[in-house]
Amino acid sequence: MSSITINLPVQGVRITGLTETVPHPLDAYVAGIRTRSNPAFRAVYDAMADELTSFAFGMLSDRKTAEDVVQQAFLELVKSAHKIKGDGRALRSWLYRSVRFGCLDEYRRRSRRPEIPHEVIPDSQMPADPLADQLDPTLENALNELNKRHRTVVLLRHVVGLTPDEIATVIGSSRRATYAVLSRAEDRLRKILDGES
Amino acid sequence: MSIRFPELDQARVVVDETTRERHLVAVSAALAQRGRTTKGHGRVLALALVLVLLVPVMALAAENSVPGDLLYPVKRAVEPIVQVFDTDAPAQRRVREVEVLLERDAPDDAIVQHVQVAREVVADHLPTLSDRIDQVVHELDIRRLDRPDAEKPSSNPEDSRGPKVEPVVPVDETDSREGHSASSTTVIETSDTKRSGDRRGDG
Repeated sequence: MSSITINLPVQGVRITGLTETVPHPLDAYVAGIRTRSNPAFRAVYDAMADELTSFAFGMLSDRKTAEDVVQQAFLELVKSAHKIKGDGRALRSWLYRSVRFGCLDEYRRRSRRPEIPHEVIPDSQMPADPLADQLDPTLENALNELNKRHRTVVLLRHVVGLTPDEIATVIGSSRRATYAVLSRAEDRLRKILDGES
Repeated sequence: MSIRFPELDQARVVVDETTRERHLVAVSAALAQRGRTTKGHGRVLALALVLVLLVPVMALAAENSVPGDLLYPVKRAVEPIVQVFDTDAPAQRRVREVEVLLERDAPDDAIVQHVQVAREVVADHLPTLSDRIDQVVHELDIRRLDRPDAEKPSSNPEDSRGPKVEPVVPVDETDSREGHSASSTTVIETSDTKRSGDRRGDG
């Protein structure tokens, strides 16, 4: 039995009680990751690759680059495996942070070498294609109008499905600040997509 | 599916098998490379540890070596470190080496040659030692003059060598000038002797 505090997104409401700590699926592999066991790395890759690539794809709008960033995150994990502390949740947050930093590096690279934009006919009615190489231009333009922090939290919340507390860990911010940023980012994206901005 | 932002669903992707294999091969290679590097680091660390332990052991073993011994170069190599803690160490060590050579019945030529070396080293250090003694005497003079009840320094240079100590004159010599020894004449009068004298008088 262990104590857990549930924080609601309403200011000043906090419920504290005793409950079982919910195990995380990655808990079983953390020890193997620390000892650089190949099966543990394969298992973590299989469990995380899709959601990490989705996050990076949303951030960069380019699938190949997103896959490279994810690969780089796992190579970084090989280097820093002995420094990983905590349980499976901590490992998951570490991977998201690594991918986020990889995406920010890619932004910096792009700002030094700007790509020549090509004309693509927007088609927002096109169904989602899990093997698509580029984001739909309408969505891409909408995401590009968000600042990097807003884009990160929106993708982590609505593409990957992280909780606000998990997002706070990934972006290195307080829970309250994360709720505020997420709320502003969602409002902004909604307005952009609805053509209000 | 995101209820609030269904447009974001297209950002969800599935990693295809080719990409997965490519990534896992890269990770496996990195893990293997890391393992080799760790083993390499382990070897370097082990070698460094052996060296760290070996150097002091060799230095200690070389401490009693003399010219001609295998470890004598080691002794000379670590001498600058010893000299940091004891500035006169080289002179003392050279003299000791000459003594050891003699004890070991070394060839005369070797001893003579090393005596020459020892003489030079000692000659180098003697002025230093002498200077140090003079410095102490000088500091002592200054300390005395700084005291409130300090006496004026004497013009006689012998007076500045230290406090004037009254010579200890044996009682025998003092009394011998008077023509008799103290042992034969000095009687400490105690109550016992007084009583025995009384008894003698009574007898």
